[in-house]
Amino acid sequence: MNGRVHPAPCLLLAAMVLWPLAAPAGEELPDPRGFVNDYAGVLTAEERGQLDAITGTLEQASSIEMGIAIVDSVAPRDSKGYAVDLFAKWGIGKKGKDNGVLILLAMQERRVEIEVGYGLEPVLTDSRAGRLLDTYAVPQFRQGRMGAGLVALAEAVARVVTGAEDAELLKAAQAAAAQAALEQEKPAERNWEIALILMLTVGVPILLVVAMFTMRPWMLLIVPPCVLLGCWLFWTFGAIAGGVLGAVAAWFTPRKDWASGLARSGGGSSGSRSGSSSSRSSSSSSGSGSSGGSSSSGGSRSFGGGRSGGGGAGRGF
Amino acid sequence: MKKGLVAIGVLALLAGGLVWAGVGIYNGLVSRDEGVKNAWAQVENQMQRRYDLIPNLVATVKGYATHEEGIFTQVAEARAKLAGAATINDKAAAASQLEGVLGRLLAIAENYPELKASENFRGLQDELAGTENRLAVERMRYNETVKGYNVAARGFPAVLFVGLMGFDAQKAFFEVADKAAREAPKVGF
Repeated sequence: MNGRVHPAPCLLLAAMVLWPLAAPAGEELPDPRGFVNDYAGVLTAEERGQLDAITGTLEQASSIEMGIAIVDSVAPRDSKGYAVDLFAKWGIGKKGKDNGVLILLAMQERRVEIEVGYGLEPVLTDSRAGRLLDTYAVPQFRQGRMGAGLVALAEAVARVVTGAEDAELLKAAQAAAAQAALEQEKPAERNWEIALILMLTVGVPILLVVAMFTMRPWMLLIVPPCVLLGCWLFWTFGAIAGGVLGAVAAWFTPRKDWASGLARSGGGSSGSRSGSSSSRSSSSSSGSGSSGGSSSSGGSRSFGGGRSGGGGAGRGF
Repeated sequence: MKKGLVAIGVLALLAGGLVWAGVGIYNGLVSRDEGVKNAWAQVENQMQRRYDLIPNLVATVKGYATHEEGIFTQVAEARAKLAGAATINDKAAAASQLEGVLGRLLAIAENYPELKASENFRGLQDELAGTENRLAVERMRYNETVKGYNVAARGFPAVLFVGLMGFDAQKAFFEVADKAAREAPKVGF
């Protein structure tokens, strides 16, 4: 509290701000937000609801997972390579069954790809996938009707992979689910996101500022891992609880022990102190890590870890 | 007396640690070795798949393109060569030759509009394109597991007893020598 500002928290703050810039550089593939992912913004709310309903009912009825991705561009990959990599990253289909299928639409390249999981290859063969594209998708896409084409294609794919040529049941369920999805889904999603962003943008910086001005040296030990963990959780799982929890726990640790332990660096007792402190912070981090993981996989609309091997078909339009 | 006990204890601890580390390295190599075998089996699966597809494709094309005997014998030869290949390198070479020939076959098919329009041929083209894609994917994954194995087997200290334990010192990559042949069978739509 002597007016000086400790440099370490400032650096941390800068690192935190820059984190999101650094993270996507290695991995340019987007993260899934449910089964239907329109990164290019071409779907209307109604079309999105229909696709949500088709993929949702399919998953509930047969455990088959259908992922839909609309991206601006697949550069620098080609569309098939992008589909393979995206499928692998998202893990579409249930683990062990590999019963997933990905429909990828690349707007700039004007290409559509169906990527079929290992488990569905016998049912949805390459030639069948190609025929579905020719029949349902390409004619619509050529006229610019992306949403209608995708809905027709998704329905057709669902019919083929379930082996149910009678689409009546599916359609009735869709209509009901589409209504429910439209009314229910959006607000909840928004609130959750806003809460997370608030926690990250307000909660963690406050913590850092407190650390800066109180000049408690031990905060520097606890805060960096917590902030890093928080960033990582946020950008991967969408949770920040790790940072906040760890720091709160640290705040209530007796101040004297830490200060004296740090001052006598190298002493036997300080070694055991720092040992216990690190185990404490790591246990708090692992606890919050698992909670972050479960919150992301808790919803029924996340993928189950299926694999694919390049099967399927693609078309330009 | 006491000193002796301590020394024995320390030695026992060290020996135990060494054995533990050795077991870890051995098990790691075993699982990587299996991973490579598994990945190679996937590559072979896809090569077999393409191999099985060829007679269908040839028969369909023959129905329309009756005057192209040359290409059909080339396809048959390349296919036979692939069947006869034993080592990974031979297989890679035969596979890339077959890819080149198939590319020419598909290029010839372009000259026959009726053939191109036939449902059967389109389906076969899709199957062929899908098989090429699968092969590319499995080849890449095989090479990745091989890389993992080689890094593990050639690193210290594993490199000292990889031979003693009966593991390969390093595994062969599936390399496609002829870039042109690799690029050839682009089945485009």
